[in-house]
Amino acid sequence: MAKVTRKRLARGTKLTTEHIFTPIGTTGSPSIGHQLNNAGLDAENLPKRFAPFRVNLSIPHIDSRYRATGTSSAYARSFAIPFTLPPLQDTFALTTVNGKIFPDATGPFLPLPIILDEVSISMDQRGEPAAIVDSYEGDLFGSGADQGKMDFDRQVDVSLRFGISQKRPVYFGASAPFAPDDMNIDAVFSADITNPNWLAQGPYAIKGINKAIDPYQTYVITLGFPDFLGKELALVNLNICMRFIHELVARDEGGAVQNMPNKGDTKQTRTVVAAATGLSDAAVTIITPTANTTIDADATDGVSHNLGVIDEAMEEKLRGGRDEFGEVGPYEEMGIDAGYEVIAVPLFGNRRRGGVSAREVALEPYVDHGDNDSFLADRRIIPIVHPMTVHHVVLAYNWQTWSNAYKSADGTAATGGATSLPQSANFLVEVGVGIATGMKGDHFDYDQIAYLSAQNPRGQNGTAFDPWNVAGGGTWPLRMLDIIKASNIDSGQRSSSLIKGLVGYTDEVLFWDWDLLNVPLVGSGGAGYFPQGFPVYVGRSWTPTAVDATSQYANDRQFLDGAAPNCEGQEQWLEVRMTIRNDAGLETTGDGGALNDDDFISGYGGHWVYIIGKKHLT
Amino acid sequence: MAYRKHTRILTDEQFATNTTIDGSRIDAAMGDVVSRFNELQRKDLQRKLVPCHYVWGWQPEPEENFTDFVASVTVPGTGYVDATGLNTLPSVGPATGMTVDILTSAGGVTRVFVNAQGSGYQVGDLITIQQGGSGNNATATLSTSYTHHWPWLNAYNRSADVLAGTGVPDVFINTLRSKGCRVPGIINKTNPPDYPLGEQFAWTTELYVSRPAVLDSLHLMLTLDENSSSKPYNGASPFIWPSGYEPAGAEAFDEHTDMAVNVQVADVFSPRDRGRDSLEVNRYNFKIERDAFSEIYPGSPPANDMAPAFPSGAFTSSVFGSAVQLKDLNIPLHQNATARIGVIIPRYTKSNFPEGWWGVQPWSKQCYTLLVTTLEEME
Repeated sequence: MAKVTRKRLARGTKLTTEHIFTPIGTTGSPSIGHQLNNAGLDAENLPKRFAPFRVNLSIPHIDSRYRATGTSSAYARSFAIPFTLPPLQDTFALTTVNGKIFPDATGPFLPLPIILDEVSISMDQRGEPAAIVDSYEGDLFGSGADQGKMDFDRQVDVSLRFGISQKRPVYFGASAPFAPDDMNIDAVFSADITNPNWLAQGPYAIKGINKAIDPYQTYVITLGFPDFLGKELALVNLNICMRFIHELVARDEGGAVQNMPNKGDTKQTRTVVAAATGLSDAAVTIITPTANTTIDADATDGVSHNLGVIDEAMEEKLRGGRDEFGEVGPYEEMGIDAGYEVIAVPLFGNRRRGGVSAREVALEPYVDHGDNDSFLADRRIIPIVHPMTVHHVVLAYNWQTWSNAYKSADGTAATGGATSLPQSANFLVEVGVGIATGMKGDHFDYDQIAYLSAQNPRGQNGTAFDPWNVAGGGTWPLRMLDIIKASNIDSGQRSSSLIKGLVGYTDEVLFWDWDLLNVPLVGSGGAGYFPQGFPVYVGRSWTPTAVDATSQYANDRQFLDGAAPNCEGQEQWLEVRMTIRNDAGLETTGDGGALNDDDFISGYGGHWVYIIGKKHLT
Repeated sequence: MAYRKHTRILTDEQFATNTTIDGSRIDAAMGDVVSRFNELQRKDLQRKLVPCHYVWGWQPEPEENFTDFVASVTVPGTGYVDATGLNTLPSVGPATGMTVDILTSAGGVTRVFVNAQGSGYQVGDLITIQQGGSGNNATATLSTSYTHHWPWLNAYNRSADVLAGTGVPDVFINTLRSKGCRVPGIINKTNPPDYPLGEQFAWTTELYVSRPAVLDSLHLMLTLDENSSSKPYNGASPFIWPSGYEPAGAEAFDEHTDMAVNVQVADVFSPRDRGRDSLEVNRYNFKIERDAFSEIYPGSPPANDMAPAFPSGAFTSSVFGSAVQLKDLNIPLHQNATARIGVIIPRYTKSNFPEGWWGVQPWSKQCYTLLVTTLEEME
């Protein structure tokens, strides 16, 4: 929709209906009456049209064994977390040219801009200008009695080097996805947050960043610890909150959106409501004087009367969006009423050593020594407060290393050799996102909305022609968006030789820090990096927006994955689950399992599932 | 739609029959109307806020890893073969009942895993592994494992909690880090050996908003497994005192009321001093068990589970525990506000008394998900 235009009326000019009734009429766009009747008010009419969203990343602890070597504290390299903010399905499109895949950002597929506006970082220092002592102070195994104590002397060492960088995903035509020389990383933003900023006065905030974000790129947050080397200190409950803004978009409509309430699945425009209800006064009606009649003030075709009609519509406030129960307004005038949203969900964080190795996996919940059918599992229960439509789900799988110190069979301290990804072709990771009902109730039920099964991340038994061993059942690359090596952010540009030199590995094929994988939505026909279903509506209901076949309302939900939703529109929470298993056991071969001594299973700090979609004005 | 006369919103110009109008007034009126629609303001919209979601959570290492013994090979012995459930002989005292699984190499024991914990054992005890055909000469030393308590930190700052050998401040800025969380049975004083009596651990997170926002909701999900002692987060009688605890005035089977959930907003002029924080939300002295995820024991699996299945027991994937839900808070957060979100749990330590349901590692009793939603304006 374009801006409303009008013909100016200079003094002495003959007054015609074009001066008054054309701009406020209902018959043609972009007249005001037409926009009011057809939910036509959009970005052209709304100067403040950006809605904020946040990517909030919480890390319960980072201690001195992060990326350490041997048994000494090191803080050797930057701690990293990647994320991506793909275009919503409406504007997601890819094109292939000469066999290579590119984003198709032309015409209707031009993604709306995303701007990084603000970053705030906080940590728990017990409310004092102190450093927090970690569990390795005085104990090699991390059972030091001083864990959590305050150290006021070493507060001066609490400095962080924060950065955000971007890289081109290997999805877009990396000829050798394992090779780190394809990982050109450009710094977007960085800041040194020195110790005077950590005197317990609250979060450190960086405002007005105003950096454009490319929705087809991978972004990597990095935290460096320049003064922590050799210190047994921990960063506790670190919280990184990034605030972005994204232009408002039209909320999802139509029957293709899964689990969508029928009520409001199309815009409740004044025109639609008037036609459906027969209420003639639902729509704005502008009566234009007929030809050769006098333009009056108070008559039904008068100036005052018709301006009053517009005025009254404005007095009621312009409507759009959905409330917490998915309800839309009785009429809707706003054409754009939804924003971009990301819910960042942590899984497998806060482990004993920061990550999980095959040597100590039996200490993990649900893994029993000797039971090779037992497996790692974690889940988050996220109550649904406001409705959203889920467009993409992305898993960031963590392979970041840590000091592989462990208690050997004779009880003495030992450290592993070079760590490795799980050396098993059967290593399997599953991620599911579901909606569920039953909280404070008596009927538990679930609906699946996204699911990923990925096997053999190392490419065990791979060959030059089939490095991931897809022929042998390796499914890890089939949903892979990116591979990220993310240490030492300050180096700016990366190269293979630099990374090899920094990390000291002789075989770069084995080592990288993160994988980004697509967790496809159920169903089919949607847009995304890999085949997946249409967006899924997730939201609580009241009677008109839930399933009730006996009601007078046309209030069923759309199908979800080809069938009526089990939750019947009564979903109360989002559940994100993740399991990690190996069919011959997750323990080492020496302990009766199937993994090697120096395999690690889950990287330091755990994994992230990003639930990405549209939220609504509320 | 019907028209009724009212004070104009879009323009100050009024037109009525039998009054004089001119082009300038009409032009001004139309200019007002058109420019208003081309420059809509937030106030023109009925809904102008969007929700933002913040999620925290983790699965702690289970308490059993702390309380259970693990064994390390001291003497490998001779003549052993891989086996499970072997009896052991204690080196001292009345200890009895511990069995072990062993892995061997060339007749010597290389790994020992405690199978049954038995009773009466202590850290440092030596056990001798019994197996027919062996020399019955392999020994192992018992120790307990370790679980950290991140991100929980003591809620009470005192000099004893400063690392020995480092400087101690004359005065702490925040002796108590959270407001409104005092519970009976825990006394924060600094006169050893009687005080402090018990401890409180706080998980506090600071959020910053640069523009005005509304704190909309806070949901703390404390999830447990089903009622089974074989599961790491046993859901049997959750948040119930198993026996009395006189200092807290608790009798057996009373419900625990000793967790607090709060939100404090930092003072603009003295953000470090938490005594000056504005306590905006405080859920305390409530019966945690009454916030049960469901009062009705499901008794059967969900009608339709999601994938992957969760290994929580026979009632796969059912959710147990408590859901502390603070909804429709509608608390304004001013520009440049710091909101401190705190969850405070107790650890009871009076000698000769049990620790209550929370046990010796209260942070290990359940899994956590915390959701906070704020409402923020378009810009």
